[in-house]
Amino acid sequence: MNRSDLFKLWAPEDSIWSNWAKPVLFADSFITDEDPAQSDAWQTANVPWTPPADSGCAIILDLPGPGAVWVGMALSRHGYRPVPLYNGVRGPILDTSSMVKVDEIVAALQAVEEALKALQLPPAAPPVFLLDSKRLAGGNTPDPGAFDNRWSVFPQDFPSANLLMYHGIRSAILVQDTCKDPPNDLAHVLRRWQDAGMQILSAGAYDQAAPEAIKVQKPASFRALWYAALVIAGLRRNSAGGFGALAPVPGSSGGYG
Amino acid sequence: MVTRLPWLPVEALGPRVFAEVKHAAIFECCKWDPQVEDVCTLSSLPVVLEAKAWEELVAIARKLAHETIAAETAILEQPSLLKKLGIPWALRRRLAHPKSSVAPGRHSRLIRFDFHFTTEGWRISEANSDVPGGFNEASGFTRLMARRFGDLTTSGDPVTGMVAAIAKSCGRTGTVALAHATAFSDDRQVMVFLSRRLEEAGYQAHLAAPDHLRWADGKASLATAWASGPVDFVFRFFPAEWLPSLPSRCGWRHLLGNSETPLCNPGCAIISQSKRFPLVWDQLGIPLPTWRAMLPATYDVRALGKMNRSRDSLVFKPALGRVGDMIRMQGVTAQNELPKIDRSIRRHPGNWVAQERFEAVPMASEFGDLYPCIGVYTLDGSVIGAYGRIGRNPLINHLAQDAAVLIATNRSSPLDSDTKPYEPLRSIQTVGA
Repeated sequence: MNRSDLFKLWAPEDSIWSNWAKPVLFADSFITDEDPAQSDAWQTANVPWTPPADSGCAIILDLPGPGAVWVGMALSRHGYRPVPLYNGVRGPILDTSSMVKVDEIVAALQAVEEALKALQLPPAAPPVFLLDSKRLAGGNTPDPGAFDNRWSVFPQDFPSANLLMYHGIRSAILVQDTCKDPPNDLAHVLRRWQDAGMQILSAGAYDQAAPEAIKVQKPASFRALWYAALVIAGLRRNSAGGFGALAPVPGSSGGYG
Repeated sequence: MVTRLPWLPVEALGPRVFAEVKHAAIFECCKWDPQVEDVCTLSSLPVVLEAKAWEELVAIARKLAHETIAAETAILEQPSLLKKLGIPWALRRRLAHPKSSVAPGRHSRLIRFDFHFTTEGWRISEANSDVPGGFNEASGFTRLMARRFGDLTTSGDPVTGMVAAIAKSCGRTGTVALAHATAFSDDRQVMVFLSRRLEEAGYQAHLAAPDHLRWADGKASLATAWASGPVDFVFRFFPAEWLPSLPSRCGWRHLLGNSETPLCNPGCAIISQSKRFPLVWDQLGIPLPTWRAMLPATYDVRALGKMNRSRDSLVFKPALGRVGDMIRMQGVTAQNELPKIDRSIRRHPGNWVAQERFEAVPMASEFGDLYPCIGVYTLDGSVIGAYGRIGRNPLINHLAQDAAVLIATNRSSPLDSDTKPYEPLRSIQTVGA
């Protein structure tokens, strides 16, 4: 399957959430037309915290590497539509020179092709957004010669709260490796949803416990006009949440002209 | 007042056909950001200009380009003016240095002038002079849309023009470094698109960050894990005002223009990128008639008190703002953002500019009234294509949609008894006179 067809599998025309699927990894990667090895490892993923698909809940999976692909596929069995939001590019040649490793994510996206083809989800199936929690490379700065492919999420990467609620989504569960507060970039998204009246919950991907309701604190520069510019400039400094540092590390930016 | 519109009515592509175009734009044209919040960034509706209207834009853009280069040269000869432009000190210091002088004709100069059709005729809101983007849409997406509208043509292909300029500069083969911010996919997509076109034309194109470049005797080379060796041309897609943030050992100062290796754009382009550029015109000793006719009157915000002008009658722009961020336009900018912007204007007036507002004429469509912005690219003074955006309101920002600009070479507006074929307005005909 070529990369264009693979993207169509992940973002089928009939799903109302496909518009938000990020094409970067599919379009700028090393995906070949060869049939990749298929994996059913996700079928053993245990997701006891999953609410019923008709409960009006969206899920954000913020897990390291390909973790969100596996858990997202497990959630698809419960009626959720996985929506990949991976927005980082691959390095020029070697994944080893890239700050954020994406090879494993791409392999996982390919490894569930057959399972995706077999998915029978209604167009309005609630979304589960897939993210790599290592997108900021753990706050590390680039070594000389490294390829800086760190990335960050912005509110505009997601549907607005109004649109979610229009489609009956009234709550959102943030799933991380453990139940904890959202990272700074996601706090900008979730706080907006919370302000609009959505309930926000947190869960640990591998916990048995039910999701806990949380109050998302207002992050720095919340709703500031210059937030995006600050984050982008921040990527040149230390991380997308790293406001305030002054000595930029080159190799990243964005959003001009 | 305007009596005749420059665009023609046309139906948008249907959802299924447009979905095919969008998918092709993603995979053939590297359009990797097709959605922003709830808005599709690509428009199924093109902006169709009458041929005469496009010819008029071409003529104006050429004049603007020549005047821009002349003004930049004049400002570099009077470095004391750089401070007035709101350019950061670290850059001013380098630009004022004699070694930063730009050899005429060595480098390519790419500019995009953003035109709006107003009640007074065409006006520009700005020149994207430093790092104009939009190639994927202006070259790739526009070509895809033109295929669906058989009797309409594109206005050109900016990437083809860029490749031709590189050929003129360094020959039919060679190595081109595409220096950009590697971590942001929105920028990366522009560079990947350009690199693919360069490779199709026979060049070796390398994607790199500016600090991957090394300089010896003013000549650039690459030093990365994936590419090394001399470079024949450097295309910079990294804002000039960020260059001082790079380590000095990477030699970023050469990117300002003091380079034996041809550049596009030399960093001195930041001079006309600054929205405060008009504030120094009177001190240049050159007339700039097209700029004066096309750009609404511009003021230093510190002078507004004496002019007794209300803020709400003007538009406020940050000197080095991009993609419509932080623009204050009463009635258009969200009310809750106004206090933050006002605070910034009050604290840093030297980094802002106030401008007369123009009244953009909306384009009626099946989606309601839309406000087109036609970005006309010039490369070394020649027009090489156009980048269209349409907004639901007169402020073109990140929520505006990219639209193909197509030219009706064999079509004109359906005439009724009150309309005449498109004619340039008198005010525009006198430009440059």
